[in-house]
Amino acid sequence: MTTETCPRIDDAASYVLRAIPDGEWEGYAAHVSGCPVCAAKIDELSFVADALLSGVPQLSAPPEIRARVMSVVNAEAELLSAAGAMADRPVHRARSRRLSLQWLRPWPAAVLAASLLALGIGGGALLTGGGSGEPAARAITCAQAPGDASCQMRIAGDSAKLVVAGLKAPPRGRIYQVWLVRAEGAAPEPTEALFSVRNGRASVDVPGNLDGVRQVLVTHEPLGGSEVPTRQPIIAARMS
Amino acid sequence: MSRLRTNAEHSPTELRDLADEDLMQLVRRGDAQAFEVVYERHCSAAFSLAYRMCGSRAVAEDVVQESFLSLWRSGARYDRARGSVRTWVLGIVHNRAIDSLRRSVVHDRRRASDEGIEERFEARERTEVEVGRLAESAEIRQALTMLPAEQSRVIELAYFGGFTQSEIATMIDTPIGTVKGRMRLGLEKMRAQLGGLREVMP
Repeated sequence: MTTETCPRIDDAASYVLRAIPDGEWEGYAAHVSGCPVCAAKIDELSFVADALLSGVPQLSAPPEIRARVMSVVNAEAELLSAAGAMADRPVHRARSRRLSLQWLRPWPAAVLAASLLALGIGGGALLTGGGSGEPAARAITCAQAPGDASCQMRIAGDSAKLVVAGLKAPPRGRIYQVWLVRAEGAAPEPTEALFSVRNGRASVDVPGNLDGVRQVLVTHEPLGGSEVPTRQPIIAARMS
Repeated sequence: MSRLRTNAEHSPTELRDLADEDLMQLVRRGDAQAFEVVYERHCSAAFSLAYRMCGSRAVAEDVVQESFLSLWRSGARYDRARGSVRTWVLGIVHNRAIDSLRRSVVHDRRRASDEGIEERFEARERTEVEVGRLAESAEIRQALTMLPAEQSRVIELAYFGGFTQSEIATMIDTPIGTVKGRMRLGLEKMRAQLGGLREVMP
């Protein structure tokens, strides 16, 4: 049993219970990365937090949910099958009425616009050439990224890859998601590109048709991604 | 022959014999039938959690629906090294429910139970596994209720109410340091009490 202690050890409980506000979460996460006492306490208490998820009065799920979920799943599985083994999951998906209603609380466009301005999106386009008949590749550097992180969009022909380094892992229970903005002021379009980082790095294929895409954004979202951003973008790259 | 064949090559009976982790490999390949088995196994636990947090059947249904569609679309990100499929599913539901609560325009997140829903949708004990899970769930609830009231309250407000530590401190008019301390003490006591469960939880 360790006799070490840390003045922030009580935050470990708030952390596993998701009671630390988003704005303060990153500060504590940075602390934990260098504090074995807090890291051990989080490991110890996470088991209880996981168990609590099952510790609620148990009910039977209403059968209507199954019908709604499976109608979407079967439609998407059919599309996936028809598209062939190399196809990605469809980006534009069949939506049920309830889902549409749930997401009728879009992120305010004004907030999005302000965020993009605040991020100071910019960066230069660098032609890297393309020999042997291959399409020319170009790299677009994001002018700003969180902390010491750096990011680039690398584009070759119809494919694009987002490459980041020095990026912190997303908050617990969340994942980074890539979004496409096709016109100024337009709502970000979700993609299936969801990622975390390893040693601060990630290289992510950006799916979908990039024709006409003005900007590529990254937010952190609940596991599984979102249909509408729930947070402000932390990375943005202007494509045109 | 590999135990996991390609899509639609498993009969429904075969699929039901597969472990969750094996089913997730098929889900990753776009197998809707495998997904349906995963749904069947965990939908009630998911709905129970969502309803406990949201206090409304309609919102809980939305949370569950969105969570399972996320699971379907993100099956490739399930990592068995980080826990069971059940914990992963419930983690997605928990996150979705908290986001829903924190997005709520009406900042009244007190639980407002739909009249009679517990009776209408009370879980049925159908299989040995389900009976075991109901007992496990009751044991966890019991551990929570055995905590001093001030500790269980802050844990419930945070984890099931979606409130942040500072919101809780304001709500119960208590210094934030005290709130955090109560959370930690409560979780530590629960851990001591549920220690045996750790060996059997999937």
